[in-house]
Amino acid sequence: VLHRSRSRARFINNTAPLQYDAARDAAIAAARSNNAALCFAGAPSDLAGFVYQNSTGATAATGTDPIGLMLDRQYGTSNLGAEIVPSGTLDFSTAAWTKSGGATITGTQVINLPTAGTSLVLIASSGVNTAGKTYRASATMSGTGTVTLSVTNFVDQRVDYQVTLTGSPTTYFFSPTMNGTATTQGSVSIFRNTGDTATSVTVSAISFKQVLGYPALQATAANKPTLLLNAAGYYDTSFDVTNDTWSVALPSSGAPAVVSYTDTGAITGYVSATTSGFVIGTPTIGGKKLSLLVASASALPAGDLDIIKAFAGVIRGSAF
Amino acid sequence: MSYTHRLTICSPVALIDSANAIARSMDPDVGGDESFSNVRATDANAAEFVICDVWVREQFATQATAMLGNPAILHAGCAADYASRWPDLTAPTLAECQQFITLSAIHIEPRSDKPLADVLAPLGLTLVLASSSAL
Repeated sequence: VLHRSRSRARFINNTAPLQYDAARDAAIAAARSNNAALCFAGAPSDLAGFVYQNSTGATAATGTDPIGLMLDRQYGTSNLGAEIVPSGTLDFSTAAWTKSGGATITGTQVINLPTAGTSLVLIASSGVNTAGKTYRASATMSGTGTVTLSVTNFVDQRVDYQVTLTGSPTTYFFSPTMNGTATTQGSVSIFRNTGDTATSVTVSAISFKQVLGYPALQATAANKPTLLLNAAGYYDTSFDVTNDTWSVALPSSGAPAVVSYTDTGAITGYVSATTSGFVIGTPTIGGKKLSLLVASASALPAGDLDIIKAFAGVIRGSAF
Repeated sequence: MSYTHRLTICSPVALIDSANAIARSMDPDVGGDESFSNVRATDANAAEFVICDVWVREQFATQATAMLGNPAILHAGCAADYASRWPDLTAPTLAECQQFITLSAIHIEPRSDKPLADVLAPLGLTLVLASSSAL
């Protein structure tokens, strides 16, 4: 009996992750074949790089954190587009880099930011500012004090990420999402904002790439769903059934699709009339509803939807 | 757990614009100006309140106790944040901060999954659920 129990425990421990991995991969493939957004938290090891506390993607979410940004899984971990920063050795003395407000450079990779408002800016005129798209900006920097990594659309949106530098080169990144304003230019900059203290920043690398797929966003702390570790041992996202919502920008939608919960009724998700989408599953833990978000510009074929539903069942340890 | 507390603010509906202007500076994310929206409650006199109910970190809960009890501190905090993050927008005035603190019910408690209606009841407020058509 003891031997069988051990075998059974070993069987469960060995097969549960395999079942999850297989179901996850099949669900991603089903979403990918339909160009649909598939956003989920899933296994604890799946959180990194996809689930963030803030809508600008600067701080990873773990535990029971609120979630401001979930990236689309349809491209897996290879979800970054082409590099927008000019290729070759990083050289701030070239015309690609604008020194603004009195900023200067020392050598080719050290920026001097003497006062608030000074910055080093890369202006890009192609490959940026697709409305509703997320961009991943990163910089490997060292120095003393604080400085701001900033992305703008040059019209009405600037998203900042303040970082505290150390003497060791460290890579900082965030993933801002462009608003709905159509523009022809965009920029990434290293900026001494009001309150920043760094006067000299050494930069060894900068990257600026589009994040492929369709992110789910919520920029208001009071409206954010939260992470919840469910009985099956996987993370899910939970709605508090008052005002938590996701916003998803889909290609055929004039405005971001809004995914939210009603307090009553069998339909657990709602997406704007120009798109279709699903929030699969209605289990409740602690008075909260769980979600797995699928959003698509058109209805998913039944077979693909069944695959994604099966994955939702694996996450929650139950069938749908 | 980093988000250890629950902050619930109930403001008269007439103050929704100034409440959101203040919330813009208190929210570390960029959408704080939509903190007060469609979650509503009424008091015994049928006066309508708009509700912001949010998880916060312990450090913020400690600061909020002082900030949301003192208009001068709240105004200074808003002004500093607007200067840094929202330089093109006008920060709430001291009078708006004073009015917000005076007329709003502000409640902080340890985080729990208690339904919002149960948080509001001791404050003398009844939650008004939004109809599904409003979602």
